[in-house]
Amino acid sequence: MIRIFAALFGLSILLALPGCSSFDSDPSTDLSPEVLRSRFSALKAPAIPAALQARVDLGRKLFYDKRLSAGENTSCNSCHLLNAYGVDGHSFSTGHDGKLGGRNAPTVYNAALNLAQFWDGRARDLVAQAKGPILNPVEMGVPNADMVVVRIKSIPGYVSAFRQAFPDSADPVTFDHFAEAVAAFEQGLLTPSRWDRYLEGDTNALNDEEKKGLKLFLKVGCATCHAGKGLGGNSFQKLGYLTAWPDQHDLGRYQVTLMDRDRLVFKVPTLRNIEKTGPYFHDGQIASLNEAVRLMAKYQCGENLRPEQVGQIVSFLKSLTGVLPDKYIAPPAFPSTQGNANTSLSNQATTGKGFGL
Amino acid sequence: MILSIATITALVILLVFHSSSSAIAGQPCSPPSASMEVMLKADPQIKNTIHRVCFNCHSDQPKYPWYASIWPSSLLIQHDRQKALARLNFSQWDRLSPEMSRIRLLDACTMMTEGKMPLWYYRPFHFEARLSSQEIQHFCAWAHLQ
Repeated sequence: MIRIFAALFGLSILLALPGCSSFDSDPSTDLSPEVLRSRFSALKAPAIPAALQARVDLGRKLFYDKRLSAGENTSCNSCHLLNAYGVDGHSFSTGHDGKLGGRNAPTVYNAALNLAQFWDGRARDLVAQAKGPILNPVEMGVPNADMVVVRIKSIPGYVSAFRQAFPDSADPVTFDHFAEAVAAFEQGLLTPSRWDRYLEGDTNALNDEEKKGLKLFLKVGCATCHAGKGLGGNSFQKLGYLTAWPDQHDLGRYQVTLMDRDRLVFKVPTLRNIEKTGPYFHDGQIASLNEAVRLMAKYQCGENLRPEQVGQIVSFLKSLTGVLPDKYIAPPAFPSTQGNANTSLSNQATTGKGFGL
Repeated sequence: MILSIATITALVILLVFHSSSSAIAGQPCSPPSASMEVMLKADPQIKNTIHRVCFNCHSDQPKYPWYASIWPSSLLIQHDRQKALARLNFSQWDRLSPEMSRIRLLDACTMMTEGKMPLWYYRPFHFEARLSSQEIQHFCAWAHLQ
């Protein structure tokens, strides 16, 4: 019996030893662009098809137009500031009637690359997503889709713009078309960066510190979830996979699927422009990118990184910051409301009724 | 002598009970429809390979070896399995976009090709988990087609 126990104990020690060894079972850390392209893809500047130009131009107007909200004081751009990398810098955004949203507003830049929209992925694409905030009581606050259509039709210039954007439609001003136009505009919000030049073969596009950070990024396992064209946005993952996440308040995707396995599961956010899109995580509670990286390494990858290692990864992440497409996001001229006194938006706003609230 | 044997036996039982509660603690299972083999309609050889070689660490359906119930190997298995699931879980393929699905498969191909998986220290105890070069080639060829 003693010999059996001794054998078992010895075997256990033998089995435990490799866990402490330096044997490399980590993913590949080859930095050559050719090898990296099996896990990452370069992003190119968008090319808008001529046939969609009118729809994109309409979507830009709708994105910026505060008159579409219940209080005429909130647009998509209020929380997703296009000149600030698609975020507003707050943990939670302020919407209709000064109400706060429940999650951090994610960037709209490169959102077209996501497998689904919102932190919990409840919208399958940008079109479905565009229908959400305008009807959300704590965002733009319009009571229903019909009221959105009524509001748009009350602005004569929009009716002609919808007709141009949807020339084959007998009834161009619809809630679906509103969402399709906004989504068409958002499809063009892509921000290639130095990282993409590196992937395409320009190995001087990253400096030595950034390359060290990239190597560590790969070795630690960050690229398990932050891979592909968006370096994220293409999978769902449990927050706190290896160590329980401290705040278990928001159940994430569980609220969509009601399946136990989806508790604390969120869409993995893109790392493109991450330097500019803080505060971080679904609750926007972490202001520092260094701290966000440290937490992710610990809770998702099981690695306790030293501050200098965190700094190296952050250096690499900064290479993902793209240039904002200034011309594409230039605020447009809005269609005038004049000539339709019966549906004066300012009157509705001043009476506090808005859309009949 | 009898007292010593009794003490050691009790210790073993204690260790077994202690570790079985930790190493085998799992996540809620995913529906079969969420698995890679169903979502990608994997062929029989791919199914056979991943079930035999990968599933103990990379799925919601592990078949724990006897030493998973004994400390300290139980701790090692718990650690390895958690890390493995964070990186690749064949039971939760519905959480991946087509792009990420392909990336994970190519990653698996690379890990097999470079001999990094299965982990070397499990191989002596799992003859069934050995991969032939033909199996690796078939998996990689299939992965590149996805």
